[in-house]
Amino acid sequence: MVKFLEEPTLEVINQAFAWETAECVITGRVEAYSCKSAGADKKLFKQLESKYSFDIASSSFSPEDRQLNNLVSPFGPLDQAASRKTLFYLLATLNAAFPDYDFSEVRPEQFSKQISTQLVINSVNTTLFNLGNDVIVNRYRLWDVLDMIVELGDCDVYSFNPDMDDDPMGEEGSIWSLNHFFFNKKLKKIVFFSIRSQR
Amino acid sequence: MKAYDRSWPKQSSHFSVHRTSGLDSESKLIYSHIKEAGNEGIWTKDLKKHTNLHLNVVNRCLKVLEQKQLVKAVKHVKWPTRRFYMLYELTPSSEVTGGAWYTDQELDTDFIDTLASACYKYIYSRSFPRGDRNVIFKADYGHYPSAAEVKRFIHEKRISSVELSTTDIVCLLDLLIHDDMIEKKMPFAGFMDDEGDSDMEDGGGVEWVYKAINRNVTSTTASDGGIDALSEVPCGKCPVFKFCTADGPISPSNCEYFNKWLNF
Repeated sequence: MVKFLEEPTLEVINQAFAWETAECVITGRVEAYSCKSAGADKKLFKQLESKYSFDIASSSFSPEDRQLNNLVSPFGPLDQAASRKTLFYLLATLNAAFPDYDFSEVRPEQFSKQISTQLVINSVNTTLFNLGNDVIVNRYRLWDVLDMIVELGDCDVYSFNPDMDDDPMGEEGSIWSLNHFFFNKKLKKIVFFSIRSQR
Repeated sequence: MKAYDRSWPKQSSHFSVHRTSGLDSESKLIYSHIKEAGNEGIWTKDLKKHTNLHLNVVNRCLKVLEQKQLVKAVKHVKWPTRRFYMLYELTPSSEVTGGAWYTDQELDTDFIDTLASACYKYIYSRSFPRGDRNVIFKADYGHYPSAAEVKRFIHEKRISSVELSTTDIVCLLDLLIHDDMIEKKMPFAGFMDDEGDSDMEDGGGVEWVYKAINRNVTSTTASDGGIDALSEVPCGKCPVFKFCTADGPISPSNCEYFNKWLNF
């Protein structure tokens, strides 16, 4: 399971994370979570393990395309426990961040792994600046704060690109949303960064 | 176990009061809202809104209610990630499950294709005399099948393990119409007798009948596939299109392709 971490530095940023432009309303959130062993989310963990172990077992006879496709994922091959663990933590984070939703059936393909943290930082900066906000980055030092919490240099970055139906931010009037997970495996911490635009 | 007592009031409200009597007031409140939602279920966000309870309280109550098998979590086909709950003993409505076409929240395309194909074959078999598609029935032919007859066929042949309603069958037939496989026709007037067994909607419901389209009729030379309205008309494939004018040596009035096409 994942446990929400109280971080006063993030509180400050979250306070500033809502503003209006001429066309839309932007809201966002940055949250830190620590990754524990299954704990309260034992059910989710078992669900994932059985879902993907089943595929492994049947693929040992004759690998049909379908089984092989199920193994490949943005987290690595799903027959490896480490890949399944990553998926588990991301789904648990989504469940914690959006308590009215249950993401346990979300398919791994709805996530993507970003090739470099720096590229993600650049793209977030560009997005924020284009929306007229440089306060979050420059005054509140978003990236310095995140670096203190999760050591960005050691992070894998994943993005969640949900189908319309699965998107908790795809509600009425929603235009786009961006969801990044900064996952430091060693520290067992995740920063969840989410921003959306609505009419 | 309580022996059946004939004097026990049969109202369900008494029964549910009995079942929820051991619960704390918050759980009772949650239970009553879930009950009100019936077989459409209710989203946890709405539960919070209506009860004004904190999320942690709502979750705690839901856990208790689930343990007592009074409520269950369900997946809604429209919003698969939303947390929905309904009473344990209820069957989710087709709004929630997606109806006949969904299996486990996913559109069962194999099922749909198999069924559509079976409907088409049946309609085809009744659309041409002796099954020969180069022959057509007279205009007053009265035995093209209706949706109800297609439904009966599907049911008798046990092609579907799920019971399908006439509306479901009409969905399949619409699919075939949009794919240009069949067409919908007004039944020939003589066919409509006064049995009145079909549902009459306002506007005097018509019981449409369906006929397979004979695609070969539209062109004898074109290869299969990719025939649309424009290429059905000979001009769409005419090798001398550029030279064709109303009064020239090559014109629509003396066009041999038109003659061929109109002589079907």
